[in-house]
Amino acid sequence: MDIVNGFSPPYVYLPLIGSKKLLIGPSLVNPDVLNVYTDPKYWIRLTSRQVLYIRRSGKALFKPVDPQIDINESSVTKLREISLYSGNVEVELEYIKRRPNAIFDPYEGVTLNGGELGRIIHYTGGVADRRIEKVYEDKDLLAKDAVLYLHNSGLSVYKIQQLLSVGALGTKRKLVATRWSITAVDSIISSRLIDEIKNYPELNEHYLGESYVVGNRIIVMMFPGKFYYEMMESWGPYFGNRNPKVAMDYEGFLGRTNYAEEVEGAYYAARYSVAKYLKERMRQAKVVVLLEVDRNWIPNLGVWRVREGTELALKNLKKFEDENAMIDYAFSKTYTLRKSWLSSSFLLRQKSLESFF
Amino acid sequence: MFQLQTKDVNSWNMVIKAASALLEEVALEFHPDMITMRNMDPSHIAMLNLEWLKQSFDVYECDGEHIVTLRIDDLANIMKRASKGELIEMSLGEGNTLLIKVSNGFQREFVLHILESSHTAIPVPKVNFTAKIVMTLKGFKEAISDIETVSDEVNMKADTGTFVLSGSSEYGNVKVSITTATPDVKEITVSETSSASYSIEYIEKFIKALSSSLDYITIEFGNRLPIRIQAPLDDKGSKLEYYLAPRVE
Repeated sequence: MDIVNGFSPPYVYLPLIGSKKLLIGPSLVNPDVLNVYTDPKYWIRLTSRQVLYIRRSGKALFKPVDPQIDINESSVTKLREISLYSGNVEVELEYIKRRPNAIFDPYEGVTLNGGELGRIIHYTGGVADRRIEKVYEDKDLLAKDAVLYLHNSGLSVYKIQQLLSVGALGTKRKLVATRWSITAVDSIISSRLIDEIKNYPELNEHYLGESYVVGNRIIVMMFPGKFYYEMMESWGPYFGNRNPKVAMDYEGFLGRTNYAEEVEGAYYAARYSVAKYLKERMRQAKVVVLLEVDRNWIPNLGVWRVREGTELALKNLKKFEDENAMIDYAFSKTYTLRKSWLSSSFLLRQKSLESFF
Repeated sequence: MFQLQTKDVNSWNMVIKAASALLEEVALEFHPDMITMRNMDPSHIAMLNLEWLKQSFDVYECDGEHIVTLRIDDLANIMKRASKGELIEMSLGEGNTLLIKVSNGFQREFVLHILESSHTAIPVPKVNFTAKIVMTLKGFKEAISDIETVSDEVNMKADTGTFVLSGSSEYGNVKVSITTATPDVKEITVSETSSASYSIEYIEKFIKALSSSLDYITIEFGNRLPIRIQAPLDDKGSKLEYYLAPRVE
């Protein structure tokens, strides 16, 4: 066993390897990137290569565990305790050297290059957060309600995802793979926001917002009407194909009951930012989000770019006279052909009964 | 005031199932000669239109116009308590409520709060249908399931004596041809070649709500026009209709 000392933002990472093995471990991050290691709001101003540099900086350690492990097992408990803090935590731990680049997880861009985690000898520093302590100590509070409480109290979704992942929330606490905790938090928060949005007045105008972050073009179209949400994802520019199969998922006013299987996590990440925007504006609308990925993106660095890119797009909206002008404008900005988007879209090809009254 | 009595639990279930696939609230309108319900889904893609005539009920008395707006889940939960052949009685209760009694030996009384109505009268779509097909619900359901194996959208095309459903996607193509000689078909009447496409998910919202004991349904559509699917509630003229706007091809 070797011993290492280092700082963690704190960040604990839980990739799922296959369906039966969960890895759990802290990231010890180099001082030059320590303050931006967990900050996607900063990453969207960078190139994806720079983001990858940040995520690979330092040592990401791992310990294989059974996903059903008792979360009170001592190493898991220590990791959970570290995660409760805000601000950097200094950690001293034992580890077994492994060949670097052993495992690359396709959901967060973290390469587990730090070797296998042994014992956490001790940790110091970090700043306690009363909001987090409150939900951590309340063993009768459902995980869903804890997530909503933390979000309402202003904690970042990235921190909430971490807390859910390390089993710090809920009545039946367990470890949750990072990729699932990300989508769960996006889904829980946006579902609640959408319930509220459905009582707000309908938007009267047509608005479009766009952004381009780390190789991802995002266009958000808002149409008058009751709440509806659709997300489409094209990898056309990435593969140099202007007529690709576009992935699409949608939900109507009554919501959806099954997982968004085509667009997956990006569906919920964009839905989070859309719902947050509509809640702040106190409006409901029909919303279509287009995501187009090009070669400036390094795949598998996470859905944060969709969440942040959608939020950025909604900060600078253009108003359009009618829906056709807005749709024409949107498609004029994409490499993917109009017909590709339209062949997958539900809303953009669906007529309304009102045009037959 | 109004009051009604019926043992037709099956029809209530169809109406409630069809409404709950599209709506959170439903406005039932009680008139002296019938109950109507005309509601569009929130996206304004589909509409349910109910005409449930006085003569379909064992007892039906209504002295004017009453609009009763209910949460569809509340009504569904009560109607789930009624089994086939049980007597259902409905009337206005005290303090803006709907009183529902279900009886078969012993009697259960349910009181539902009527919601404040935001219901505005809407017309049915004005459509000159150019194709009419009368076929079994079972046959139509099977044809739609066949198309669904490759596509989430169905194209319907009708010509003299033929009705063709088709779908395609990157996975392949599928085509179901139906003629007047098909055993499931009673009538195909076409005034001009007609073609339109519809969302399978939305068609299924309606046909999955229909009772399997139903024999024939009537399907009408036209070139790039809405489809109307009509399901009879009985042989006295009462019917549940579904309008669905087309997809742009």
